[in-house]
Amino acid sequence: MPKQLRVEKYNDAVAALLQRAGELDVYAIGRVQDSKGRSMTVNNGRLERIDTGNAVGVGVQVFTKEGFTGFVSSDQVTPESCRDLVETAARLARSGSAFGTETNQAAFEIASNGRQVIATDFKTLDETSYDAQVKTLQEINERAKAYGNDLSVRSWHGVSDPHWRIVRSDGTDIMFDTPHASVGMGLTAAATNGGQAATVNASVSGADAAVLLDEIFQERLELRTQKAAGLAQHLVSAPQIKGGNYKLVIDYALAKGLAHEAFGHASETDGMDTSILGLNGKMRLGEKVAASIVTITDGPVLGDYAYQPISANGMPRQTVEILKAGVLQAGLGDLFSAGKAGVPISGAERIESYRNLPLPRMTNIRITVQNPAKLETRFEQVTPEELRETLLQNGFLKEGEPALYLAGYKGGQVNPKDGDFVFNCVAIYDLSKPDLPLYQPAIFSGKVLAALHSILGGLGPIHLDAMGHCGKGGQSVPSSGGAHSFVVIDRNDNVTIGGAS
Amino acid sequence: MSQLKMEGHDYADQLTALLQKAEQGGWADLPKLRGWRYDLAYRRAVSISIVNNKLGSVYGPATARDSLGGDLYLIWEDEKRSNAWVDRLTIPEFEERLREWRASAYSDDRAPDIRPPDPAYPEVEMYDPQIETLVRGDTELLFKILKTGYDELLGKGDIEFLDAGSSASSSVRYLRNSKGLDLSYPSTGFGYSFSADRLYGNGYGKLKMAPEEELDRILKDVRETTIRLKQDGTFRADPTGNRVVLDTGLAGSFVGQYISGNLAGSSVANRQAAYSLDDFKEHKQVIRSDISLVIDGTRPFEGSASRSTGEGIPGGRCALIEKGRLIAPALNLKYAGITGFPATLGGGLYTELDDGGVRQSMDELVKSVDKGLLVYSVLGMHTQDSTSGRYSVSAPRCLVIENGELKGRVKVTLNGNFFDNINDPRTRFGWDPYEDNPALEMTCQVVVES
Repeated sequence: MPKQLRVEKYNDAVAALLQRAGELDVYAIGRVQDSKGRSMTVNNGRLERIDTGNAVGVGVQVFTKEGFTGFVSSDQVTPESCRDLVETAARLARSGSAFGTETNQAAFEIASNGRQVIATDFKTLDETSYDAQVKTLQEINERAKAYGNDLSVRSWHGVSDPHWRIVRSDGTDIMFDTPHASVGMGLTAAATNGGQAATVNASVSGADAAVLLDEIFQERLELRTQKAAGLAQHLVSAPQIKGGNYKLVIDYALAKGLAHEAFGHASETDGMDTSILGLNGKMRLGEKVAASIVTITDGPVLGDYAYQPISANGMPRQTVEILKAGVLQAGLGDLFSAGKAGVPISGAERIESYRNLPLPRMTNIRITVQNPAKLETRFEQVTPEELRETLLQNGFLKEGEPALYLAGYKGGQVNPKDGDFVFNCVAIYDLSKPDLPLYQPAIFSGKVLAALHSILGGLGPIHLDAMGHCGKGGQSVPSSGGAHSFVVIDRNDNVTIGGAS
Repeated sequence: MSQLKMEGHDYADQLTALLQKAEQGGWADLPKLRGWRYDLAYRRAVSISIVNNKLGSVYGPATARDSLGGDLYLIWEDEKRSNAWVDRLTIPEFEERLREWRASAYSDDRAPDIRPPDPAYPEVEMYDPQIETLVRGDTELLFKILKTGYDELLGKGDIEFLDAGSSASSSVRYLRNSKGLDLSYPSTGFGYSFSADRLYGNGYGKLKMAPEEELDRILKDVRETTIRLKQDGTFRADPTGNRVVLDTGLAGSFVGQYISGNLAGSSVANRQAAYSLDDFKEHKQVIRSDISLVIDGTRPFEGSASRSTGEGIPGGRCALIEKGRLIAPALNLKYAGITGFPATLGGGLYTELDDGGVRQSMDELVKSVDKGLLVYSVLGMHTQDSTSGRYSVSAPRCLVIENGELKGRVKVTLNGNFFDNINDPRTRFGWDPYEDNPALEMTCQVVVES
């Protein structure tokens, strides 16, 4: 049964907000947030701390008839404060006009999305036992310590249950929730025999505390933790790879990083003036920008860590095929810039909190390729040896051919203007050698389009749960995505692995 | 008394009264509180931005924000602890919140007690009354700063895209506990920044208004450096190692990631840092003997200025690494108790050098490099493993140095181990008179990207 949303109780406040906007002859968008959160940490078997938090507030963006805009936020959501906020925002909007501030009238051109309540039925924090969470987190932490000699293990678990209400002067009034939760394990292997200490993480994510308490998630986390423990211990004494250009095999978490950093940001319409996917401010729709086998899709997935059904401007979040068979099809468009970029509004606006301004950004982004090779072994149980054998069998690799397998995603960064991207892996295996020597992680950097043109194929089924956080514009929001179990990228002069000279 | 101060003061008084009621058993079905501490701030801020050349657009309009909130720490009579975030609704919903806090209470036999107030907390200048006018809504100066930057940087034709921001804030902090700590004081903030063509940025950010001439200096630096970064250069990497100068901000990022990242008390005590507790007890030499890392909260109007930590430990000055030797981890009260070292004073981290009073400037440092690179920023720092000291980062914006002269831009990856770099006798430092931490020249592996 869908949960009752806490933002329903702010009827008087949002009514006052909209009424005052009408009186002042401005268009208003109000964003009410009522969040509850709980997090806990266990360090080497001991409960470190539990934190709880509530955050309530409202952000108000107003537009004058000419399109001048101002924004205010406050942690008071009362009729009186909302009226004050509208007045301040209107004053700020008008004060900026004297300095030639930019206008935008897109808000006046859309139709109302009416009144809607879109509530999930995931467990609320009130329905989730602290004792069960603490006990389970301590158990998995204790178990992980046994996965190696002298391992230090830090485990963390967080559940966040934000409820949102977006109201607009056109009558739109939509309430929804975006619950998300994760469990993480950090495993540090001590320095031995002249090596350096190494830390490797493992995690699972979802919508509620089931990520910790449900057996399916527990088993998945355990397999990932075992793998991470093994890697941490081997990395202590692993050498550095020689830097350069290689054929690369990346796992689905890294492929999500490639889709997110290397492509997704460039397809966001607020940056189309400077994006490599733009030309004179318009998205280069219809152009071939990747190998013909590649499709990249972004859209919300119920139960996913980055789920969001409605945008921060009250528009429905669409699932968009940004790239289809290598051809640019659509962008991640927000209310304010989609039209200018020449693409439909896809409801891509997201905010970290009511204090922030909406920006178009990804939710769950995934790379798929045509005719992926079969690989039926469960992802967590695929060994480098099995991967190498499968690559050889499917013609993706020849004996002795220089190629690297990059395992695990540690984050990335991009400059959409010139298409430079980087991301880092957890470890590197040399696929050219049957004994698959292990190397230290190294930065994987390159040019977006070069990387996408060089995708040769994929292996295994699609996985969508590679979680992370996106920091665009200084706002951290959950992100996720994935790909086939593995994706193969041909050697390219514009895609470089850092390492020894 | 300003409105900000009055509202915050009232809130703090009400919260204190409710916590004292809970200490006295005001809710019969709940255990009493044995102690409490909160650290909250009432803050107002205004800002305006230029995003992609557009002043005050939907992505960076004139903005005003206010908030009231902070951390709360409770000790119940059965010794359980609770950590929570308090906000404006905490007062009207206190009973409900108290029950939530109790539900989240946990046992931790190593958790700290409430600390009695210290005899004195340092006076550090953190409040500039001139900023109040801006925060109250007179945003003309913030617009004018951005307009000046817009005209200066975009008006001459050699810069295509500008992102910029200016902001002002005012807050009052309230730090109180059940043992009599009652510290409240105002602080302000003022800043602006300019980033040209996504290649290079610089700005001002302190707790007081900027001197008028500062804007011209920053705009000149942004313009000249950006133009340099637009010229292509060539660089042939030396497989035996390459001299690389990290600009002040980037050098600070390396020190933060690899050195201070391994000083965190929790990580040290739990064997999740490169340095062990025994290393601190033995004052092990871990970096070169002319380098110290100090906490300093006494610098007036700096972002690091601190009269107290959130736990009531006074601000001040203390060394974490002195002359290359480990002195103490960075410790909160809990980990001070666990490790036996004193809790760390409030403040920010600074690199200090024993250079005999002769400070080489950053310009001199660059001029002394025959062949190398000057790196302003890297991509991927947040993905590095600080416990290993190893780095592999991409530097898409660096300038070639030839015979001490800055040449064109190249894109490289930098690879090495910062623990080795910071111990290397060849590593040198150079100071920028406008920055608090030095630039650093080190030797590392470089791969030139096409």
